[in-house]
Amino acid sequence: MSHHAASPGTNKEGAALAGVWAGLLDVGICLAAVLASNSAVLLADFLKTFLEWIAVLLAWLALWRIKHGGSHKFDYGIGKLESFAGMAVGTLMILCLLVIGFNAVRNILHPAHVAGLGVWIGLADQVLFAGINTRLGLQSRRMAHSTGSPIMGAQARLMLTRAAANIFILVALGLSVALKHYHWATYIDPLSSIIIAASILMAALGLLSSSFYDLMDRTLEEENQIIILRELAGHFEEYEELHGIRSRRSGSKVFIEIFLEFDPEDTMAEIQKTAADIRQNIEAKINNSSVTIALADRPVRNLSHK
Amino acid sequence: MFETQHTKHDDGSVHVILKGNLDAVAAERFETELESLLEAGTPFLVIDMENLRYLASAGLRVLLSGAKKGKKKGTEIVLCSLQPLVLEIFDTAGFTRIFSVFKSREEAHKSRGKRQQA
Repeated sequence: MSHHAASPGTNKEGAALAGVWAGLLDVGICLAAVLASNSAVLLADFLKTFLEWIAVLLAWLALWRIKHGGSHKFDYGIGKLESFAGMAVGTLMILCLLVIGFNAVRNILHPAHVAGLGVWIGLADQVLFAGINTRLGLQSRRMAHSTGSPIMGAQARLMLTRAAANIFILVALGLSVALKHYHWATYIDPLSSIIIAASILMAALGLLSSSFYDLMDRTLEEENQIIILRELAGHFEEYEELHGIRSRRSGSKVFIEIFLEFDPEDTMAEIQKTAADIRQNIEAKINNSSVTIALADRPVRNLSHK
Repeated sequence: MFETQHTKHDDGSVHVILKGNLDAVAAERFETELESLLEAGTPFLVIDMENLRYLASAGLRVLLSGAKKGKKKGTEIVLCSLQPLVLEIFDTAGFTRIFSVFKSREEAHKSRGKRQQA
């Protein structure tokens, strides 16, 4: 019997698929709870859960397409596709926020005590999925740390946000039921949903901004640029001219191109050694970087300035 | 805001004063200026950084590239009057091994005189 270590891609797809099934179950239960109750927070929870499930489904579909799309179609990795998926998740989170906000305002203007069998279904649902989401969130976070994948980072944030929301809704619903003899308790339901909306807004803004900057092919941060220059300064005597440096991010990957001119009298072995030293040293110091040393005999300007 | 001021001396040396922030945008302009000074065959170039408040990696890149071109064309480039922050960036990037750095412009010019006498 042989054992094969699962590849990071398979692990990512497996974790995303588990999220799809768990989310679908959650959507079904939430729908039943909403139909059998008058709770605003449960209605908001259902809409949020449904949109989040679509986001998880998109993430899984992206990974599935990569896995079944051929091995030579993505030579530079799937960073950009992951960033697109991250932006889609962020956009859906904003949509959730708008829906929750609208419902909260409507229920503050027309307050009513929560009632119906759906409330009890909702309470049981929150207990069950607080556990499931916490487990999936921690699993995705471990994967994100080991692979540096933004899509898994987005998954982890999504699951842990959902777990926190589950606990919060559980407490809010419990208080609404326990304090039903007080009129002011009618506001617990909508006000709780506004607090959940605020937490989603924070997560969505962070996700959208990081994915957006990655899609813009931004250059490296200053501290990493200094690392490159330090390496070139260290090999100052070994090349003739520096004709340019270009860098870009694609998801979690970093691509760096350094254009150097060498003395025509240098042997290929000498040039090869210098290029290999510079490349290896930079790749060791900048995480997830891929360095290319290109031979050039004229300045290479930044493409955006052409 | 970034500005430069050039003074050409009788012995052919040029004193360049940098003012403001040498960021990514300013670096492009400074690169053109530096290249034209090197093309003109300037034998000794003193870059005065007393009024340079910030130096981005793009500025360092121009200086590194300039040092290489200067070496090829026989131009000696030295730096003087670096502010503590700029000196720290220089040191971190390992540029103090490439450039001679002097406390003042007078010291920079004297060093050339001493070398010529020797």
